[in-house]
Amino acid sequence: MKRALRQLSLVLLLAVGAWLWTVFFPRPEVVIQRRLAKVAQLVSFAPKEGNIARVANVQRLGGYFADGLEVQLGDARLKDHTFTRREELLQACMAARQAVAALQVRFVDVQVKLGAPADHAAAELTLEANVAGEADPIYQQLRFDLVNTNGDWLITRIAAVKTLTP
Amino acid sequence: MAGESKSSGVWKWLRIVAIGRRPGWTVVRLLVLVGGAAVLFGYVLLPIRVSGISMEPTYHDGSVNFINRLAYSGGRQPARGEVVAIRMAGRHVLLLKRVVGLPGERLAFRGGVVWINGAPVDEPYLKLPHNWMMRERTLGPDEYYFVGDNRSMDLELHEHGSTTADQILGRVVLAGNR
Repeated sequence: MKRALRQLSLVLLLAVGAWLWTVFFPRPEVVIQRRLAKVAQLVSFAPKEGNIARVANVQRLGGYFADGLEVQLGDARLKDHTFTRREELLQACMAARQAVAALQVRFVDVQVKLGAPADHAAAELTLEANVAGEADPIYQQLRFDLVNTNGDWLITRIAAVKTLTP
Repeated sequence: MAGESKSSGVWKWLRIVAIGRRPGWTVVRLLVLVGGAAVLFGYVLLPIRVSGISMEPTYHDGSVNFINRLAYSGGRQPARGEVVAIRMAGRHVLLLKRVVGLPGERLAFRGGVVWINGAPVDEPYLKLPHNWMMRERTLGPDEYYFVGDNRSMDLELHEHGSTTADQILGRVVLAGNR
């Protein structure tokens, strides 16, 4: 009985150790998923977002993207764009925040694949966006390309993925 | 004394109703029920809520349905007219569309009606006005064509098109309005 208890304690200890390891040293896929969740949170905004909060959130958002970010939405109404400077991206985010009253963004089914050079990764996900005043949410399949720069995974490209080919 | 005995009888009866005569077996039954429901509704019959108007009037915005993930197991292929769920990036957001074109077929829209290999298809589910026009195209060897029932929308605003069979998650269980 004493021996069984000792073995059980050892197994529990190992399980806790393994869990702590994943908490302190998460896999790159988990790090990327968390960063993308943070991007979705920073892109979202409430109807009465204050000016200071707005600027702060947009500035923080800029830290998740690399210079030279490419955005290819493949939509006739939204032109493809390459942001050569991060400031350009921030200006576009500010403009978008003024264009609609509120926006709630969520990334669903995030699937991360690490690239052949280990500092590259791609994430496929479904964007769910609720725009204030619109009855239905917008759903769009997206692909994010990321690169690891000095320990941070930065987004280099966002492209729309066509679920159905017309 | 009699009151005490009566209250203990009620308590015993309530206990039997709540946890059964053998609490151990009740726990086992509960675990089997919960586990069975988790497997059934997590992997076989996926509950969904319809969002949007592209399947009107067959399936309304906000209606609840189920996706049978085993519908196309055992080599069974999707058939024309069936309503299926198509994966986007995963299985939490799905496109609900009707199969109208099968692999290798020539497909076109004329006056809102699907034409297959040069002949119009009988589509009794089309209730709303429709006038789509789309040039004929030939589907690939593993390509299916999907479209919603609401063809009163602009063709550009309606998500339709082709994909391969492996993107189909399953078939809708509950028939919509006929």
